[in-house]
Amino acid sequence: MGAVLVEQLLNGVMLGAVYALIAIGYTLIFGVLGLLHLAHGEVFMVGAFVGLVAVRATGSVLLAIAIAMLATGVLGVLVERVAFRPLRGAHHLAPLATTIGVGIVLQETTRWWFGAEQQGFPPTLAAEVWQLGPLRVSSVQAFMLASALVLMTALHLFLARTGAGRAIRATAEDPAVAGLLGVNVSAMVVLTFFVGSALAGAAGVLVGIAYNSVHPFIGVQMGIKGLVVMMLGGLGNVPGAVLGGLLLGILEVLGAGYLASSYRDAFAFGALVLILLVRPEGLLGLRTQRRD
Amino acid sequence: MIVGPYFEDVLIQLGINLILGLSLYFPLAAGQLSLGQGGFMAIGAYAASWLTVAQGWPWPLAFAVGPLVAAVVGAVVGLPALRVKGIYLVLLTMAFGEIVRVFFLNFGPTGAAQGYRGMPFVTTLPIVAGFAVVLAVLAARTARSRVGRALEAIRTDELAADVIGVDVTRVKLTAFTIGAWAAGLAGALWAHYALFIDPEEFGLHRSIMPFTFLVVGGLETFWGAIVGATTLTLLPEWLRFLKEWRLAFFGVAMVLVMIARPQGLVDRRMVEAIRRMARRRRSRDNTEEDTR
Amino acid sequence: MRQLRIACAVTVAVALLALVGAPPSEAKLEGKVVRLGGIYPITGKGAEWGEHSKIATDIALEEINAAGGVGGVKLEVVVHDTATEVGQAISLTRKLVLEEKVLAINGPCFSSEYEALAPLLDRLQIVIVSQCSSKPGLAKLSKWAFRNTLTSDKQLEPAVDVWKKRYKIKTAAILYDSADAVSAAEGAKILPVLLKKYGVEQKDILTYQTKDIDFSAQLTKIKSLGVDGIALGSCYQQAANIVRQARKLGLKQPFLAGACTGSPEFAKLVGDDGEGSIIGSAGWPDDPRPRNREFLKKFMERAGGKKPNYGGMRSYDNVYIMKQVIEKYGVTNKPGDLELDREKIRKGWAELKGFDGITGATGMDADGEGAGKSTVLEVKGGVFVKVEY
Repeated sequence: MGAVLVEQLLNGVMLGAVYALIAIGYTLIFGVLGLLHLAHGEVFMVGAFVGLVAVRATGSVLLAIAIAMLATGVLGVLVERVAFRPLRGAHHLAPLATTIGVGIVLQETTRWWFGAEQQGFPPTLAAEVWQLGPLRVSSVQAFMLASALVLMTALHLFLARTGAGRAIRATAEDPAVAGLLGVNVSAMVVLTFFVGSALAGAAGVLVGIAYNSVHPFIGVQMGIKGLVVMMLGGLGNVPGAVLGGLLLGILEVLGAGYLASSYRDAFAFGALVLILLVRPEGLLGLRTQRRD
Repeated sequence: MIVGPYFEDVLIQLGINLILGLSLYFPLAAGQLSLGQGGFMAIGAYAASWLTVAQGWPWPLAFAVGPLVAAVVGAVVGLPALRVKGIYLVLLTMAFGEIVRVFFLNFGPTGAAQGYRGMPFVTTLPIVAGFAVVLAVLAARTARSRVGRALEAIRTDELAADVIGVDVTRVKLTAFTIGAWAAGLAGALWAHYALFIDPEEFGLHRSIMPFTFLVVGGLETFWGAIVGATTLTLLPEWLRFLKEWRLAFFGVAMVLVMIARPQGLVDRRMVEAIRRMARRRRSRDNTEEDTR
Repeated sequence: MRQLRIACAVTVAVALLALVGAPPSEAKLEGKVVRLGGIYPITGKGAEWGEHSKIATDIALEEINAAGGVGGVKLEVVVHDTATEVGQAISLTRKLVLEEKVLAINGPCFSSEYEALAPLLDRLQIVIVSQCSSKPGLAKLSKWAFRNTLTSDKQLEPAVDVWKKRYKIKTAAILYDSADAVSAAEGAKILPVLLKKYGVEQKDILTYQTKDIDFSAQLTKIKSLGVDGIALGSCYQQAANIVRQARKLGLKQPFLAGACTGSPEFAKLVGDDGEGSIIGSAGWPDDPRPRNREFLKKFMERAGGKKPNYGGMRSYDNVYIMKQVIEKYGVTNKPGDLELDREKIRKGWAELKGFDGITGATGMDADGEGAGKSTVLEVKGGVFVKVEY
């Protein structure tokens, strides 16, 4: 029984890592703009497809991740240009509409290009299973966890140690002051979109490798989960997104494994409702967090 | 039949969309953006259907009670929603909508995932038109009344409204509840038109629909709901010749309207201008009579 | 003189016989075009089924019109896309019936669409024939509702038998999609009954949602049970994922699945991981009979190398059956005879027996359900192979 529980926890952590990568993008963008990017899920989906094409073309998983990250980073910048920038100074709800519109366009374009059916990732990683004590860990699981860890560490270093990263954090805290201090706020926003979207793209490829499933509609559900995780962790809070992602992943897997899977989603949203009512700033957020 | 039978179907769907759009207008008028109207629509649909199918009630009675159930749930949700604002409210209502969906996905007595059928066909064009007109008149009256001014005060600055003596809690809660009731009505009408409902019918896309109506049609007046619903329901019909690209153009249209005219197609200035023109024409007619 | 009278009498008699006794089927149809309708899910979650139905319909139309059409008149199928949405299915059907005035309709594909449409037919008075829908009990909702498919229980039963015998299955776990009508019926109702009937002990029954991509929770639980086999109620996309994930987690059990898994894409997606999986289905795309080979070749040319699922195959048959019914039952295609013609087509379908289609011998039972032999398929080397039983 104990071994099964640990295995389920491992499953949960894997899923959670994916959620975290997506949520980081949401939360970074919310941090600098104060707005929700409702096409982020579709950016993730495009990343998965770019990764699929790249894997088929090059046969290398690492290369595919790199290519997907580049492509989605650029896509994110384009989305900012089309769906956010023209609306500076407009009603604060307008970007919700444009991002929904952009999301639909991305989804339909992908569907037109690739068809609506599921595309399977070719078996790229040797499916080995290692025995670690009572645990069975597959090579795919290990790869996913390692990749997620690498990416998150890289992000942390970027935000904490580099000039650009610090500028982004400054912008997130207070764009006006950051601007006065000489930060090119516009450029930082663009950079944020690039980084956040690239992470989502990486998540897309990882999901394709681990779960084999990519189709044009995976962005919708993932997008919603990403939003939930962002809320759990606190808007604009990157470590919170990581914690929230892991928490949600574990909750969902345990729920599906020990209770009925049809209630799986209810956990996510039930937790969200609870957080919103009890502690709206999220698990790690500060009470003075900017609202609306 | 005045119009062709296929177009009649389109008009019925337009009527339901209109009611759905207006259902979002009420809470939005009090500054509450709800992306959970799909959940209330589901409740109204399932409640009314269960009454006509399982209990054999005559439809007028079922249509009276069904949306009322949605309203009650609306009040229950609306209470904690008062404490939450802006993006947080958006997420809370989204979560609510999803929870409702998952609930009906598992609720045996109304068919769970398999859906529910057996409803009598009730939703003819005159009936839908009747309800839609009633609701529109209600919205118009509300906007022009003292309540309307209270709504606007709350929307502009809740704190100030409270200071000048507006019962903010009551107005907001009432607006939210009426919105839930209207969405429930739309659900009851839909169920007795399609004669088959399943939980997927009322997912996130249903909650996003009224939002896009208002965003495109105009957020400042209730006319926005009418114009938005009309444009976005009829547009896919005219664009049908594009067949597969219908949805994508939908998305593009939303983005373009938002960029070119963020306040929506109909804003307050336009409504005022039209009203002034009508008044001028009327007084001109009157003076003409006098000078005869 | 008497001989002349006899001769006259005989001539008159023969002439009368020729007029009266001649089968009405040879009557020439009127008009420039015989119009049928098609409502397919070309976009949305059922997109593959709709796309294949359309391609197959086009192939059938080309062949029929090249050979002179129906009763000498060109055959046309007006196709509309339901986007796998019930509301669309209803309004598009009304459009086909009232505006485009088609004689009969092929589709809808999905059970949810079908279930919503069938009760309306008594008012609309037109035949619909589904090429995919397999949730049991739907065709009897109206005498105008037909389904040229096999219901899930018919599809699964022989497959369960083959699977159990082949792999000596004594215990099994069921995993099904509770958000999909057909899969839920298979998983929750049909499979437990069949497993019991064939003496397989059901150790556990688990669910997932269509949109899920992570099945590790359920699969880990199944692993801890140590069953001999895993039965799925699932559409092919998720089924393929489940199989591949299971192998990654170290599960080696053989899989069984039904209707919605029966797309050739499944065999391709699972590859080695799914080798030996047993599927109960309603059509075998790689059937070596010459007519099937012809169809397969034409289909793959137009579908970018993909093989047809049984929705495509049965659409092809449906168009040919429509042709046969129209010609045999005296449809005139005169605008004034629209209601009569539709009723004739209904009669033709109701009495259909033993039509030799590419999916086997086809006929309708008393409820309007397809009565035929289901096909048991096995995944071998990335394709489906038929299993005799």
